[in-house]
Amino acid sequence: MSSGLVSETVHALYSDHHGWLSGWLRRKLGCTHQAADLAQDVFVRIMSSPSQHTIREPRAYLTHVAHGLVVNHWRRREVEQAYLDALMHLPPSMVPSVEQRLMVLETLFEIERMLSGLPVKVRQAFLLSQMDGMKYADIATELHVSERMVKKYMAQAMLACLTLGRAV
Amino acid sequence: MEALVDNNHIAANPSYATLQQAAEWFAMLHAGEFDTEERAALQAWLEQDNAHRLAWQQVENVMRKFQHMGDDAARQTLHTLSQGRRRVVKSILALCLISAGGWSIARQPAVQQWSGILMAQHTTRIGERRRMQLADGSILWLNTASAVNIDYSASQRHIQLVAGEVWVQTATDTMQPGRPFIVSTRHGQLQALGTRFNVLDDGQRSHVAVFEGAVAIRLQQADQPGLIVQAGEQSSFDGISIQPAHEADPAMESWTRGMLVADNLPLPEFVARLERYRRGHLGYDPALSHLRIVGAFPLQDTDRALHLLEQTLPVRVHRLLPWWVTLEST
Repeated sequence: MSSGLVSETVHALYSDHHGWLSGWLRRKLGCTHQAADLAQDVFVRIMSSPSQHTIREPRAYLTHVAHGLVVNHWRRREVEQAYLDALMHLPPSMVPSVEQRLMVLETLFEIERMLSGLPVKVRQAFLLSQMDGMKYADIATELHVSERMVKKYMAQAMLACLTLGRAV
Repeated sequence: MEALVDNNHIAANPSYATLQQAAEWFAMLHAGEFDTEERAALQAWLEQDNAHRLAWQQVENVMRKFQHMGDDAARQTLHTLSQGRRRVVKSILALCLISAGGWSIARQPAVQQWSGILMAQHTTRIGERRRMQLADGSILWLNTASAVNIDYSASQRHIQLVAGEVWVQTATDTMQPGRPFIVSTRHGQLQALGTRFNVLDDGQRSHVAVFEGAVAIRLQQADQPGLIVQAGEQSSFDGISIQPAHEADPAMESWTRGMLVADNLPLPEFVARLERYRRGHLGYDPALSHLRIVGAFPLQDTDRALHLLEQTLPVRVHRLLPWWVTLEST
């Protein structure tokens, strides 16, 4: 790390609270290995964030960061699971290669993250248009809304994708 | 240098209002109502400001992500994640219909099987096993990731194995005279002659192992000779020919008790069998191919089965991802 102060802070944080954080994560996840991995991720996240020297309540801060990572972790598991289920239904000749699968998964995580905060119908309209190439009129029939509404949904979903990760 | 970096930083982040406009242009573009006048209007908007062009570039980046997600599994995944289960089945069926028209003939049987699994009366998920008692008292065990249809009519008792594996213990028919008990796979038909047997469709061939009584195999191509498999024997067949009978593998029955019995099984075969009960990838270092495995392994906890392997063989279980596991040599 660039600054000595930073490493010292993180080092102190690590030696004082790593064990406690691992325990907290273990209770959340029910798995020792995953808890250990995520505890590492929490410290990596803190080291790469610009404001760690202002930490006042270390445990509250740690659980805040860890909570975000746990949610993320479950979301990824859910995406992986859904993708595997879908692959299971593919004829063997059509199952993509290992590299392709990992690449698709990464894109899936990203898309899921972009769309996760949106209302169900907005997401559906966007996917039906972008993934299935459906026309607005057909999407409108499918979702029992007007075409005008579909157009609104599309703009809303795209805006969510464009602004992901920005401060609101 | 400092100033340049700063410029880039600002340029890479068009304002919220600009992104909003770009999103609206996107929605209009996809409405299919884009005439020359609107095209000119979009062009004018783009030329108006560098930030507009950057915002539109970001729109195109998002669109590109979806274009690269060509395969059906990815599409299916996103639909699953964003809508209820029922809707998913409907959309998979719709995909089947589209695909059946568009794909080459060679792929059609696979498509039929795919939709067959979805429409089957009884299915199990990966890792699930289920016992069923039929109207006449016969007992079925459905193994992991399997699908069957049960059709009892006035003339026969028919089990259609759509995918996976089923173990059957037939009962004397409640109707007199007794109706024949038939298990069919896509490769042929099996008629039970008072019996306990197991049928596995591995995708390429159907395997039948008989533990009591006997089973008659009839191929899909009816002009080919059939075969009667006796208790303690097993055989396999594709649509065209039948393998001569040989000694039955106890593993073809032990799964109903939740065990994978390995009797001197080569490691690649062991991995292939265990993988059927697990989600995700299970691979192995080719250097381990010569290893042979003896023992009984729990199927309801395949991680434990792998752990047992670690204790008895020079093998280490490596977890790259929770669902991406490989066996490596120690």
